[in-house]
Amino acid sequence: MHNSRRRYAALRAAFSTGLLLCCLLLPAAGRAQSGGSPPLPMNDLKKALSLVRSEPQTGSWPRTIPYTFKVYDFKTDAFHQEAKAFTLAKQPVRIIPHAVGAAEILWAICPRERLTAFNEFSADPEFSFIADAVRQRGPIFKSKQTELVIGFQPDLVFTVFYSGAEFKEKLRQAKIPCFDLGYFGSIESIKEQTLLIGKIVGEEANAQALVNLIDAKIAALKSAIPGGNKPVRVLYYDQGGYIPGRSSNFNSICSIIGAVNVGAEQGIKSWSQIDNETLLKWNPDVIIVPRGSRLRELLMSSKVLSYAQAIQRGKVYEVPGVYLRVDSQFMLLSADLLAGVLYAQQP
Amino acid sequence: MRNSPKASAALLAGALSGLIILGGFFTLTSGEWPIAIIDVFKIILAKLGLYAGSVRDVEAAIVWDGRLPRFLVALLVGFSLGGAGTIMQGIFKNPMASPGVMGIDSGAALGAVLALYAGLAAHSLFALPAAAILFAVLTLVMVFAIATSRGQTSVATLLLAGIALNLVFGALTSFVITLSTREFDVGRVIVTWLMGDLNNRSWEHVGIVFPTTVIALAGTLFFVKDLNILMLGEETASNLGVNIKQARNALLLFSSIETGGAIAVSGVIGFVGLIAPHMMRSLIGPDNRKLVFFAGLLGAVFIIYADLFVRLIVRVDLKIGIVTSLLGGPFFLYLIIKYRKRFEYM
Repeated sequence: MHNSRRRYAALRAAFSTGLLLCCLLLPAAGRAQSGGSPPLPMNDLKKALSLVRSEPQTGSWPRTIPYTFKVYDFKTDAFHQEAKAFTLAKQPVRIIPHAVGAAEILWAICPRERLTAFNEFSADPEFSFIADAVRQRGPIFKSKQTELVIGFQPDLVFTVFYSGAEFKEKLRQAKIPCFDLGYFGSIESIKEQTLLIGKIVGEEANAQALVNLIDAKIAALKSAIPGGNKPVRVLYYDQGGYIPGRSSNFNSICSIIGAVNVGAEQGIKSWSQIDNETLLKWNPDVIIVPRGSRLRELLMSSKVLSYAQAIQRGKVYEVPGVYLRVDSQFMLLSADLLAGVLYAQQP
Repeated sequence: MRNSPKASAALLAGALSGLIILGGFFTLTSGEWPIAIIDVFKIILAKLGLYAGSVRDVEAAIVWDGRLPRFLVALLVGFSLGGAGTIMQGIFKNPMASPGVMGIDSGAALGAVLALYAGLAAHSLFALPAAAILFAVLTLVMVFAIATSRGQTSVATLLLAGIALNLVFGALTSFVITLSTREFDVGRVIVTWLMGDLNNRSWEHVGIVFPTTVIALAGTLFFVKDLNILMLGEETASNLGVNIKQARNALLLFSSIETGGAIAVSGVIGFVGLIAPHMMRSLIGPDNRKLVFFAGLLGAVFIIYADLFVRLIVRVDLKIGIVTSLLGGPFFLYLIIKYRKRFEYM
C-alpha cells in the first residue's frame, strides 16, 4: 500500500508540476486555525472506541438474521426500508469490509485476526481513524480490485450501496457471501448497523458493548457541554460552496452536541451549493471548513461576507476532513472536536 | 413597408441592449438578501460618486461586490463566446463551427481541471483562469504546429487537428475526473465547473475577462474586413490583397483569447458560441463587421438570462451550461430542420 500511495502521489505530482509549474507560484500554506479543547480527552475517547470486548460468544451456527435494510434515496429525500433475512452457514473468520465505516466498527468489535483485508480508504488518514493501524496490518486493496478481493478467499464481504453492482455481482458469481449494509449517516443508524454487524459476525456482546459505550460517551459529552440559552448555529462550508443538510453526517454530529446545522435549518436535504449572499443571509454563528482547503482565507477575504457575524468575529475554523466524513462510532470524536470548537468560544 | 437594413440593425441592437439592461436590472435587484430597488440605484449612484446620501454598507457590498460583478462576468463571457463563434464560423466558412471545433474549449477545460485537481485553484483565485488561458493558447499553438507544413496552413487540417485534440483533451479531462473521484469534494467542484458556474464571481473575475474581451474585440475589428473577404475564398482574398496567413492566424488567436478568458471565469458553457452567430446571421446577414457585435450581444443575453434562470427561478443545483445546452440544442435543431435545404448546398 505504501508503494501504491507513493505511485499515486507521484502521478499527482507529475500532473501538477509538469503541466502547471510555469504559470503559478504558491504561497506557503497557512497554519490551520483551531478552536478550544474538546470536552472529552480525544486520545482516550479514540482508544475506547477502537477496541471493545465483552464476554466470549456462544452463538449457534448456521444462523438466519432477520433485519431491516434501510437506504436513503437522495433523489426523493426519503428512506426506503425493506425486511430481509441473511443466512450464514458458519461463523465468518475471513472478513473483508468494503467501506471505511464497516471497517472501523469491525476493528472495534471483531477479533482482528478475522479481518482479512481492507480497502484503500480504510488505510487513508483523510478518510479513516484506523488508517495507521490498517497500514501496518494490511493487506490493502483498491475498491475496484474485485479479483484481489476474491483471491483473499473471504467467507464474508461487507459491502455498501456505493460498492458498485458489478463488484457485488462478481462476489456472487464467486460464491462469496456478501452482506450489503444500509444507511450509516446518523449516530442512531450507526448503532443499528453496529448491532447488525455484531449478529452477523457472531460478536453480539461486543457490538452491544460498543453501543452502550457510544450512549455513555454521548451522555458524558452532553453533560460536559455548557448550557446556553440559544444553540450555536454552525455551518459547514465545503469546496465550491457546498453545504450539508438534513441527511448528512454533519447534521448528526451537530445533533449530538446540541448545535444547529444551518444547512438543515435552511432546508437543504443532502448537499447543496450556495452563494455568498445566501451565506450572509443565513448568518451562522460559526463556520467550519475542511483543513487544507484554504476556504478560510477565501471566506475571510470576501467583501460580501465581511458583514457576516462569523467572519467579523473570526469564527471560521478548520477541521480535518476525516472528522467530517466519519460514518462509524468515531462520529463521537467528531462531535467532541466540534464541541471544543464551538463551546470553547462561548463567553 | 420594409425597414432599411440600417434601421433593422439599429432596432435589433436596441432590442438586445434593452434585454441586457433588463437582465442587469433583475440581476442587481434580485437575490436572497432583499434590497429595495430604489436602494440598489442609490448604491450604484453612490459608488459612482453621483449620490451623497447614506446607503447600508452590507447592502452596498451585496450589490456592488456580489451581484454587479456576477452580471458583468455574465455579460463579458456571453459577448466573448458569441464573438469567438463568429470568427470561427467565418474562417471555416461553416455554420457548425464554434470555439470548440479547434479544441480550444477542451484545452482550456483541461488546464482548469488540472488546476482544480492539483489544488492550485484553492491557493489563488488567479490559478484556474491562468491555467485555462494558458492551455487555450497552447492548444492553438499545437493545432497550428500540426496543421502547418512548409509555411502553409490548411484550413481543413486545422479543423481535423482541432477535432483530434478535442478528443485527446476530453479523454485527459475524463482521466483527471476519474482520479478526483477519490477526493469527493474536489471531484464535485470539477464537475460543477465543467457545467459552467457563475457563483460568487467577484471584481477579480471581471478583471480577468474584461481585458481578454477588449483585446480580442479590438484585434478582431482590425481584421474583420479581411474576415469578410476570406469568406469569399482564399484565392479571391489573395487577389484582393489580403495577407491570408496573417489575418487568419491573428483572428484565430483572438478567438482563442476570448474563449480562454470566458472559460477561465465561467467554466464550460456550451452552444452560445455556436448558436449566437448563427441566429444573428439569419437576421442581419453575413457581414462580420456587424455580426461580431450582434452575436456578442446575443451571447451576453443568453448567459445573463440563463444565469437568472438558475439563480432565481430553478434555485436548485442546475448549472448555467446545462441551461444553455438545453435551450440552445433544440433551437439549433429547429434551425437545422428549417434551413436543411440550404445546408445541402454548402
